[in-house]
Amino acid sequence: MNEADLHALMVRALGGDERAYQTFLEQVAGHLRPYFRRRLFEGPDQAEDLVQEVLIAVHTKRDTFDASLPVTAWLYAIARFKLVDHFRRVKRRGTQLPIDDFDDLFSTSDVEAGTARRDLDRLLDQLPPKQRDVIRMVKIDDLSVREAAERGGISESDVKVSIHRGIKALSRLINKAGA
Amino acid sequence: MQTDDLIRTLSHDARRKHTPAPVRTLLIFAGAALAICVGVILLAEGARPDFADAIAFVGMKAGVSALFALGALPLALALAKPGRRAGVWAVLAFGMFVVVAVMAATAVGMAAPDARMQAVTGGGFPHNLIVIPILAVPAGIVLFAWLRRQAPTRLMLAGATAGLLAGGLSAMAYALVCPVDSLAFVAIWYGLAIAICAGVGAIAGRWALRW
Repeated sequence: MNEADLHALMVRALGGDERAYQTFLEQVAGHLRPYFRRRLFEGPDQAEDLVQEVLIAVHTKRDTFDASLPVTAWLYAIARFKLVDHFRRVKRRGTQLPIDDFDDLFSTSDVEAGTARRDLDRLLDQLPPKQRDVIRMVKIDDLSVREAAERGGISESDVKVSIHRGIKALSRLINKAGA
Repeated sequence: MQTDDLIRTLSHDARRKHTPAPVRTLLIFAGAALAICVGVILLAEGARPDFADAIAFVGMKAGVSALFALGALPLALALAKPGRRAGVWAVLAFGMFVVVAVMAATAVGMAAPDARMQAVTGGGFPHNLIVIPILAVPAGIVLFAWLRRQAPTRLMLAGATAGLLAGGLSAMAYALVCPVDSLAFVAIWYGLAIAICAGVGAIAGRWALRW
């Protein structure tokens, strides 16, 4: 969905069209999720928190949207503001809670996650390179199909088909390992 | 809460809230801030006794100060909404410091050599360097309250702009009591006092304008 579509939705929403507003917010969430995931180290949960924070900010400050200007500029200014605010908060909190105190709290689950990761890597290595790469990008690194297609230099439908085939192959490998 | 649930909840309340136009509210808040400054300074120090005779100088000092305030208004409006271009307005607003610096240099250069010291210091410690920033505090609080009703996303710049505006208004009020009638004095010390206000505003904006 492009600027013109989003802009039209927002204008209709502000006129009281609830369905347009819901679609608008869903689109915004869809745009922001990869935006925050690319910029945060804390993982998808933290990104989702920020998506929700921006949605609430968009809602409470919707009167500051100026219909004569691009809606994406307005949205990304808010998103950037919330991201910078988040970094500032994390920095402050970081100085108050030394992470070493929580070392033993996390170590066990880290080991487990590491083992699972290694098992997954071993399975993925048995797939053809194209299937392996798109699954890594889309299912593990949370890229969109389009981003994966751009990065791999292949078409979007090719990405989808490769994921589908790759996952089938993976489940065959897992069944074989279990048997 | 799931994001989809949140979206559904929010979407039930789509319609615009019809808050009053920012231009109008800014003028009202700035007017209130100026009234506070004038009221406080007149109560604290009283107008200068030769007010009627010195009306031209009072007007000159208040006018220079008003230029700072006027320059800050469009920038404050641009920063009040996310995603607006503010570059031109920022140059206009903070460019006033350059104008005043040129004014100061010219005025000092034109003064007779033995009168220069007097023209620059006004014959003593520049009292206004303390009074203008202090007087700007309540004005700044009023303007921060206005900004908090908006949605500024560049907090330091927005804070500096509110400080600049508060400083300009405060200096306008101070002109009513200021006894020194020298252009060099006004350009140097009023400019510096207002710059202090902008600096304090920038620092305060970082935490006071979060939303």
